[in-house]
Amino acid sequence: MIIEALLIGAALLVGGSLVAKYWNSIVDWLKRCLQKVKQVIKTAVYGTKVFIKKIGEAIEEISKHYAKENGRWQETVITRKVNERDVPEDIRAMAQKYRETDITDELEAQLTR
Amino acid sequence: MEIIIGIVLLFIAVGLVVTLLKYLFYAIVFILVILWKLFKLSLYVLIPAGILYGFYYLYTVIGYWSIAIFAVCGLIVTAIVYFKPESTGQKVKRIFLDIEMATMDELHEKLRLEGQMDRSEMRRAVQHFVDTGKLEVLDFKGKERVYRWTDEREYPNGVITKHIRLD
Repeated sequence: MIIEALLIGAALLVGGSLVAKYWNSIVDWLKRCLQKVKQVIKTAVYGTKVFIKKIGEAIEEISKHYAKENGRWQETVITRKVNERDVPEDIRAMAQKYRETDITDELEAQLTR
Repeated sequence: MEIIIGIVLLFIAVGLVVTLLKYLFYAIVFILVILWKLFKLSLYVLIPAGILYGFYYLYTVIGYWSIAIFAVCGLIVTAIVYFKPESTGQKVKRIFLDIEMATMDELHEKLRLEGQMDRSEMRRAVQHFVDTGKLEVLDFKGKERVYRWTDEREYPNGVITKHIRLD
């Protein structure tokens, strides 16, 4: 399913675990990202991808939103840094220093649970 | 008892021979691959050297006429390269080097305008570029896949990227 549609209907994950807090925080941030993208580009978003990257002691979350405007592809890249401690161990292990790791499938799995 | 020991030893010997043959085969393949790569590299030197030697030989035989002959040969080679019809792979590459990112439908539409109708040939060319890492696939589930050329370069009509920081 398309991630934008999933985000609109996404309910908060229940529980106070680090995993639930992390995914809730990322869903909330992505919803704000989509609102920001709507201000920047005039057409509908074609697709969204979510990545993470390790930067020193922090993890950078990157959302990339693709849209086509006037026959040309547009890419809106939105980033934020989160503390490594706030990221669950399995997700932290996926993050690499010089390469972005796609976590879109993991996010979709959380949203369709 | 001796027969059993003999059979076990025979199995061990056969196993050793097969293993040795396997490694020998790998070693031969490895050496052949290295030799082939060295040969391909040496062509960068051998071809220009051959052309230079050919020119020198002609010059010693017919003098300044050799310049005219080489000029005509150069023109013929240039004309052949220039007028040779583009393959589907070259067309796909040219389009991606212009627009950077496209779906199969967009790509097909562009190729159709150039008179290329064969969609399966286009798919094969795209798959080749995906396999060789020249194209990355952006799979947005439920929508048509988007393909993006991976080279870090300037694209005349490429993707317009905007960066935003949102905490």
